Amino acid sequence: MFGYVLSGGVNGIDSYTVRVEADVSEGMPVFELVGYLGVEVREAKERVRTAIRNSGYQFPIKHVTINLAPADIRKSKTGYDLAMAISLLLAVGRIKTEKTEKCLFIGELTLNGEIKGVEGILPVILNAEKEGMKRCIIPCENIPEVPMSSGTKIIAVSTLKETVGYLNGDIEIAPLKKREVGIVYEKNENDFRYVNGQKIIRRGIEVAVCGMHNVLMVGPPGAGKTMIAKCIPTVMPKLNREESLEVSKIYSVAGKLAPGRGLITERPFVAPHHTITDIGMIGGGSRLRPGAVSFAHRGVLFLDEFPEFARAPLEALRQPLEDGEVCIERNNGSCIYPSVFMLVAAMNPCPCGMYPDRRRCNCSPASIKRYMSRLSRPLLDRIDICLNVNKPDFDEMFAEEENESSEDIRERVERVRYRQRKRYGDRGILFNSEMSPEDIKNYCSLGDKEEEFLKSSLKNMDVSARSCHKILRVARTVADMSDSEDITVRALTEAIHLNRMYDGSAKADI
Amino acid sequence: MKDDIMYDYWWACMGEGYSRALLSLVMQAGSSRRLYEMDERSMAGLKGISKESARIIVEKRKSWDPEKKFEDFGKTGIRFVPYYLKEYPEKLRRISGHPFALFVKGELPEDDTKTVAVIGARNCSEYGRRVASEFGRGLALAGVPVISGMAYGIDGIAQNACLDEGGRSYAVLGCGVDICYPESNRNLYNRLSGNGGIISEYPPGCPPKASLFPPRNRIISALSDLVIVVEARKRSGTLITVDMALEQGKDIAVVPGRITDPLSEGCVSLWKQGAIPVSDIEDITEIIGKSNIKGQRVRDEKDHEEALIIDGSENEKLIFSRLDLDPKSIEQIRRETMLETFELIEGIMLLRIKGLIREVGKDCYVRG
Repeated sequence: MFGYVLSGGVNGIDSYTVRVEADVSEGMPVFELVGYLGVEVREAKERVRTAIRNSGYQFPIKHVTINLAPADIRKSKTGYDLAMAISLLLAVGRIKTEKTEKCLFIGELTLNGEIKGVEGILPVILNAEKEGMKRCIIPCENIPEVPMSSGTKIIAVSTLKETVGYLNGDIEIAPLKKREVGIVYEKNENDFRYVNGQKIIRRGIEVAVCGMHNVLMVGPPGAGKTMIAKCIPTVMPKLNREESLEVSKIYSVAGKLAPGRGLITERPFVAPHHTITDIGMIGGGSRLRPGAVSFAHRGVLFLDEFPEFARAPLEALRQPLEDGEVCIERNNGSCIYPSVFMLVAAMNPCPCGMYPDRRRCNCSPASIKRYMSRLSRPLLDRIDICLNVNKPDFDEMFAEEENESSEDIRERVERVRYRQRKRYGDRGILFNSEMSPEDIKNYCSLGDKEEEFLKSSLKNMDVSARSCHKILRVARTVADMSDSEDITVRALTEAIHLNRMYDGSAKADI
Repeated sequence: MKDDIMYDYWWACMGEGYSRALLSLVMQAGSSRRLYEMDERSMAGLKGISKESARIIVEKRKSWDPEKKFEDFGKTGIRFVPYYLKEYPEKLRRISGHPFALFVKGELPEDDTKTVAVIGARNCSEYGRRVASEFGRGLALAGVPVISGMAYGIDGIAQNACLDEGGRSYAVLGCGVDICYPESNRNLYNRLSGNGGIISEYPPGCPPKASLFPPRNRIISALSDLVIVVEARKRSGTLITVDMALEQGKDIAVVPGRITDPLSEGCVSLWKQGAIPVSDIEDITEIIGKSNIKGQRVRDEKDHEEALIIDGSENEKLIFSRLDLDPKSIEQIRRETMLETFELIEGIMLLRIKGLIREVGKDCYVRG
């Protein structure tokens, strides 16, 4: 006697179909589970056996074999429980139906036959849709994670008995309706409307967001670096459906989709503590999980107290910054987590935070130098814009003046982003910050006057030659913001201003 | 006597740590040659040396070939000046506890030239930087050498400014004269050996140690006719030099600062104790009794600034007028000038290129 159903496994943030087959034959009464299984999957044996019995069905006293195919991919997580139980009941004839055709089962069983939610339901459903499944049976607990519209019928169940009843046609369960799913996040409470004054920073941030340039903010404690950083996602264009699914998939596989919240529709803002490890940063670990860079996918990764981070997690940032994804290699295969994010780092100008106000800062030049030297050069090279954030003036802090809201800024950002998309259409990049030296040559050509200006500035302002590309990338963005194809002296001036990195007091103190 | 100098050299090289005792021990023994020939017991019997120190000296002596060592030393180009030589500065010889010998790279200050020490905080403010550099230049023009410790901050700034204006300057180090400390003053170090001198009582190769710095301060004050304190915190190393100078009967001058600034606390309290406040180079030349100067104006920096700013745009003038020696962030300048972001950025950039303002920290500016 043989029966099979389909289920789904997750690799990275994508899902693949797994065929769960059960065979019941004469012989010694044993229960075998095969198919390259992780420990938690092998333990399903006891859960399945007990759940079947406690749901009022008889567990066959025969030779039972269950196989998870393809048998050469390692299976992990507990989502196969339901599919195992159903295939077994199918094999012994307790379920007689056509409904298991093109139907995908996922869910964890408890000993009394209830069905618990699992991590990573979203990629499984998306895969089911892609593979043209007719039905997808999921735990009720996972309802909030179901995407907005789906061609596949989504049936939510809470017990094994209910599932069997539904398959046999004894009870009716209506597929989830569209309105029940995809609850939208409430409004983000951060908004540039509440940032008083700080006009210079606002402009700097706008340039950065328009071209997706990474930013370093330098300023004394309490100046508002964190508040400004939190506002950055609010001026980015809204997530579109694909992006929203992508981000939600990452949170889904990590089991971090907040219950009752549905898909993620806000740009993520991720601020790991500076004690984070390299695995926490880019992902991995014994239970494979995405890291902070992937949780910040399509949003902002905020590293406060930048110099306090350990070397390893910062160096690990280089690949995701370069490639927009993290590839984790392990002995049983590799997996890829997307990580396209804007890096926003913040730091104090010196260990006490008050430099260059010498009335309050008594940090020696050597200690400031030591503090600065904790930053990794290669990482700084990937940061195009450096901003000073200073304490706002009290008058301005309490001014009644209406500030520009994030929404207004976002409109401008969207326009500039559109300009970039149009320009780079077939270059495979989206933003000015991604331009290669080759692209810079093509898209950032300067007139004679501008070139002369750049050269003399490099000399007069003590700008390093390696900053030149960064300046041109930023200048391209500034020009785009004024709807100009030509990079003007004005754009270059602003780019140079934005690009100059803070280097401690290296030059100030002889 | 002439041959004895190699023993003097040996004795000076023993000096790390008990440099003040070196001279008195030589006096007791009669000469450093006698010390060299002395056995451990009789050396320990002298006043001012412990048994342990005597043991170490005797131990080190075993592997020391005076003739060879002195010959090797001759190749370094560093001069060795024991106290009895004529070159040994008279000003120094006059103080009690003067060093047994000096090591010199470059020159020693001449005895009949008036000299001034400019000393102060390492982590100085922009105000201190400005004053130190103004005084450094002014003293150079007045033909007065600047003596200091080549440290970060005031010391180095004053000495650099003095050399910039073609003056002479002498640095007294708390390590061997062949070691540049702090390393970031390497450029100054190189210039000093050609336009003045680098002086130390510690032998070449002696690394900088915290305990070696206070004793060197007595040399700084001894070599100068006047000690000017530009900026000093309440408990600062600068004040050690002032104490030494007072013991030696030197004049002390201070640069007045605001009473609320921690960096002026030292100066203000010295002022209250009777130090002379100075505000320009004429004040200084008057104290040391050196009638002015080669007819040159010292404070031409202001004129220079004025000339440059007259050519500037209205925005530049506006921005410049809002800046002084307290660092101001670009956001503060914007609030005060109400300029548009771009006008401000452009104005600041032009002012920077002209050298009228400087950036300290990210996007924080001061004049000069």
